[in-house]
Formats: sequence, structure tokens, C-alpha cells
Amino acid sequence: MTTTSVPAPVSILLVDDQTERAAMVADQLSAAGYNLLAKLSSAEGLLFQVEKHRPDIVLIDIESPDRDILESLSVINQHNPTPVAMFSARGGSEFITSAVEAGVSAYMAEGLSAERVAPAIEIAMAQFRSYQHLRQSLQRTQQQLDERKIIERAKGLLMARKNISEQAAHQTLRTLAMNSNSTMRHVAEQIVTHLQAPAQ
Amino acid sequence: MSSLQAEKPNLKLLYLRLTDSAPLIIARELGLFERYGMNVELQRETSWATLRDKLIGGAADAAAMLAPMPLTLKQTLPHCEEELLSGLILSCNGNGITLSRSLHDQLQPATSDAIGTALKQFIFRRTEGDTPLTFASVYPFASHTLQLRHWLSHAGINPDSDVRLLVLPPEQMVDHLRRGDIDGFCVGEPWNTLAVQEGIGIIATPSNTLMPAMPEKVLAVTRSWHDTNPATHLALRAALLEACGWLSDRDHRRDAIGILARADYLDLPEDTVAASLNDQLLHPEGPVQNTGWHLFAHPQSDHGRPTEKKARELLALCNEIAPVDTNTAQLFCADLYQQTLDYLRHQQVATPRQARTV
Repeated sequence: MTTTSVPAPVSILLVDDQTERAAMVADQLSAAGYNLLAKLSSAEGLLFQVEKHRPDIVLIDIESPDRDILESLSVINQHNPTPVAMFSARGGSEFITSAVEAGVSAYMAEGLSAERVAPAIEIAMAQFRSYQHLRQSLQRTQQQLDERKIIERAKGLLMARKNISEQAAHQTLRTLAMNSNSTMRHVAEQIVTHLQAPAQ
Repeated sequence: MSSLQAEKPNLKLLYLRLTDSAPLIIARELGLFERYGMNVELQRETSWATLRDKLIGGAADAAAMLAPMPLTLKQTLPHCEEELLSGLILSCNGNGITLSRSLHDQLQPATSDAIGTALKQFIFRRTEGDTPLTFASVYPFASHTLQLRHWLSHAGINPDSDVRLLVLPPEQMVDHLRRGDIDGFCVGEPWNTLAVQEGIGIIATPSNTLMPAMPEKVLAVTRSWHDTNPATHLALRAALLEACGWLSDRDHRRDAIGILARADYLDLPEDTVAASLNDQLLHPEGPVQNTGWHLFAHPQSDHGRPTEKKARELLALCNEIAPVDTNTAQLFCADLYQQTLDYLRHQQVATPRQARTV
């Protein structure tokens, strides 16, 4: 149950069209021990950049018109979900507090400091993780189903083509996997590719 | 005249640079907010997520919001404990699907009805190495995405596998089309009209011919704000429903054009705002009449009534984009709408001379 591993530093993609502010935020993120992957001035190529860098979190100015693009990534793209945190040059601290309480990832006001950046990112990450956990367990179940399906299919093909029993087919797959230092799934995929009848 | 005691007379309302933000702008310009005891500041935003989050965070009191947005809050902000609700659908329709001029020229459709079929044939003629055609809408759970997907599916194009769909802010659509980053989009007006006027786009279809009277923008508030300010909420709905009714008049719409176009509102040329508000579909050869492009709420019609049935229909469509929790239909509050109607009628009876048309 308790798997212990050393956590890698949280990697961040920063989107802000104000160069000075971006530089300041970047400095503070580095000082707080975060791994800054890239600084973007706007969402031009944002979709591509997220694919490329696979950040743990995207930091974006709340006023940025590109926030909807990021939101579509986290809502629609099940393969590459990204938590979204925001900071704002405007807006008082009350707004930020209530927004965080309401569950809107994280907002950060002017006068950013390393001490304030870290907790805000932690809140956003924690919220994301619980959501992510649900998605991953669904994904794992799907993968296991897929794996079982392909192995069953390979066994079926072996049984039909070689006229052998289910048990013998299973044994064949296992032996092939061991001999080629590969997984059952991989061997099964190869068998299916080689043996499957051409489409009729 | 107002017997309403607004709990909070000074309000901030949020909107985007779109023709259907008109009820907010008109209510302000005609002094309707003042008439119902409120002093309202309008604030223009550039992104739907920002508009929503400012509302949730309490940085604003109400907003003209995409109709599916309050219903799908759990999907976009899974940890948000606040709810968004609506007692008024401000408008129906108002969007269009536009293709780039270059794509349209390659399709060479015989009629405008044939664009979809021509697009399908074009897509299936392409070879595997070609980059897929890319279309944009303005937000994942928005009528725009639903309409675009519907239009593509209807033409026999699979929106999930035959093309690439992405999200862009409304005011960046035309620039992205010009740069060739996208081949088409579904966006609210006046951005379709602008693409035609700049000679880079052809409107394939307005949204009202695709899915007639689909709820487009709602007046949204948070549940906690509504609980604290019920009378203010009623006053707000009354002022906005009156503004919506005013906008139903053709002559009034002509007056509205100049106001909407101003730098402090949409900041666009008047003839850009004029087309869709006058129900004119721009084509390179000239305008075509398109009745009902913007259908604003009206006390005498049902377009403004947010019913659970309408919410469920929207949710069912959203569910085709990504799985959504469909137990949010009661966030469309028909009872609040009815309360507004009752209040307006009572006002008319009580003060007949003041119940004038504006």
C-alpha cells in the first residue's frame, strides 16, 4: 500500500505576457525549488508546448485570454491532464482567499514571494492529485482489460492455427515471452500481427 | 417606482466582446439598472474561465455566461464548493460557423447547403500524411462546441477522429484564421461577420439554422450570492429582461448598434456589429436575410425561461463531448424567472403610466 519514492521536483510551465513579471515569478519559482520548464509570452503554440514539456502544472495570469485553451486541455484531453493554477496582478487578497476556498485551483496576487508561491502551488497540486487518482485507476482498469483481450486473442489464434489446447497455447505464449525476455502482452501482440487472417 | 430594496445597490457585471452582451450594455445605457435601484458597473473580460472564476471568487456579482457553464462546473472545477445558477436565459442563437476563404475555395460547393458534403469529400480525399483540418470553438462546454460537432456529424464527418478541434478565445479567432492556424471556427457574433468583411472567411451556417432557439447566454450568479441578495437578484433580472424585450424591436436594434460598437464596449466598427443584430448573414456577394440570428428573451415568449428540461437537453449534448454529471439541471431556475415575470406584471398594474416602453 505505502509505496515510498523520492518525489521529483514539480515541473512548471509559465505563461505570462508581461516579461518583467514572468522573470520575477521564474526567479521565485526556482528559489522555491521548482523546475521551470519554459516561459511563454502567450498561448501561441501552447498546445504544442504542453505536449512537449508535459508540465506538472501550468501557471498562467488570470487575465490571460488563453485560459480557456488550458481549461479545454484539462477537461477534454484525458491523456494529458494538466492542473491549472493562476496568479493575478490585480485583485485583492480577499478575492484570492475566497477563490481558493471555493476550490478554484490557486490564485496569487501581486507582491509574489517564494513563501507564497509554494503553498499556492501545493494547493493546486493536491486538488489535482485526487482528481488524477480517479482517472488513473480508471485507466489502469482499462489497460488490464486491453491486455487480457489481446492475450486471449493470441491464444485463440494459436489454438486454431496450430490445433492445440488452450493450456498449450497459454504455455506457448509464456515460453515465448520468457525466451525473448519479453512480456506476455508483447508476444501476444506479435502473434496477433503475424497470424491474424487478412480482412475479408 | 421600484418597491424593491436591493441588498447591494452597487454591482459589477462581467461580459465578453460579443453582440449578445447587448442586454447588459443596453440596460446600463437606458438607465434600467438605476430604475430598479441599482448602480451597475460593467467589466469586459477576455476568457470564459476568467469570467467564471471572478464570479466564483466574489470579484463580481453576476455575469453574462455561456448557458452550459453553470451546469458543467463540476467537470471544469471538480473541487469547487460553490454553485452557479441562473434565473434568466438572456439570449438564444447568435453564433456562426465560418470556414477560411482558402478552404471554401477548394471545396467549391454548388450551394451553401452543399458545404458540409463538400467538406466531407475533401477530408476523405486527403492522404494520411496531411495535417488534419483544424476547427476552433470558444470553450469545451459551450453551445459553440455542440453546434460545430453537430454540423460536422450531420455532414458525415466524425468530430473526434476526422478533424482536430481546439479552443480559442473569441477575439483571437479571426487572427488565427488569417494566419492559417485554423481552417474554420464556431464563434459568437460579430466575429463571423468580421472574418467575412476582412475577406478571409465564408460563413458556412449561422447557428439558428442548425439548432433553433438553443439557449446561448444566461445571467449567472453564485448560489451564495443569490442567498444573500435575493431582492438585488430580482431587480437585476427585471432590468435585464426589460432590456432583452427592448432589443426585440427592429428599430431599437438599430439604435443599439452604435452603443455596442463603442470603444468602451465591443470596440468594433458599427457595420461589423450591425450585420448580425439586423439578422443579416454576410456573404461576399452581399447580405442574406437570416431571421432569428439573435433571439433575446422577452416577457411574452418562452426563450428566456430557464427550465430543467432545457438544462437536461444541454447536458445530454455536453455528455457527448466528455462525461458530465447530469444532476445539475435544477440550476436553471424556472421559479426565479416566473418571479421576475410576476414582479414586472405587478409593476405594470401598480404604476401604469411608468410601465412605458423605453
